[in-house]
Amino acid sequence: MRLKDFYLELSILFNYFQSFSLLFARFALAYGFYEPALTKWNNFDTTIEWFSSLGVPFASLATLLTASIEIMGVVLLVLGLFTRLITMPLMIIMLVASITVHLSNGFSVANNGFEIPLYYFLFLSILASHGAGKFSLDFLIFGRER
Amino acid sequence: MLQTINDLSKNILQNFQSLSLLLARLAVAYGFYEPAMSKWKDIDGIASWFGTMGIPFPTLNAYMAASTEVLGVVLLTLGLFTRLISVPLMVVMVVAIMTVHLAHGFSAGDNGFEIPLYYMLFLLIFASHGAGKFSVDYFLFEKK
Repeated sequence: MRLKDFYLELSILFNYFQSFSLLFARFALAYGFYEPALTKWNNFDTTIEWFSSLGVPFASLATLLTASIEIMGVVLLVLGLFTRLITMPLMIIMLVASITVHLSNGFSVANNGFEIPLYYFLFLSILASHGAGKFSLDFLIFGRER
Repeated sequence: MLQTINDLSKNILQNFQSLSLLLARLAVAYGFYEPAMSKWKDIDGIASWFGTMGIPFPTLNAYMAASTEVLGVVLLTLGLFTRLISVPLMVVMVVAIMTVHLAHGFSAGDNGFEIPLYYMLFLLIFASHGAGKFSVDYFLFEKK
């Protein structure tokens, strides 16, 4: 019973860091999506060719969609606005990226494997299910999350 | 309207909290598996490597890091004492970032601090949110 009491006390203490952990994860994801998003916008035509060489259907439309979702993801994740809604399309992008590009390279990030898109997918699924935490516009606009 | 959409998506997606924590725990446990094993196989080599990086008490710290990582793999997989083990694992990640990765910059491609940073963020989430329902913790401590 001592152990149980100790663990419950610890849980109450550590619970205070929930919103911080979600905030930091949001910032890290936004930073991670920033470069690929800008690369896609700056080299729009090259990205379309690359997408069609990967066998992605409707390559121009897919490029436009992916680039806009990623840019929106960067902005919305930083603000914590519509967090649950934007995580869904971002998760789909990570899934498609893993399958079309990274899966054949194995797991390790050193071989451009699916390690990093997998971590992004997991962060996004945590944000989708837990929300953005208290340090977010979602919390200000939509009220108490929990 | 927006409120309705937000509430609806919240009500649906909240059901996946424990699943997301379980998958993240398994991914982090898998990530710690290889460094943990390579540390145990060559603990003397690790100790002298730690010594060259200026870590005090290199042998003691090599054993500490190796056993923390092995414990982390087991406990994160089981979801046992999840909040407790997350703290020393975060310390291991901070030390790894400062001694090895920081000089290489951010990108994982250059052995930068990207991956240890992601691990730290996962561990911070585990420490603050717990392991979710699919864990030994839940049966031991939270189930009424």
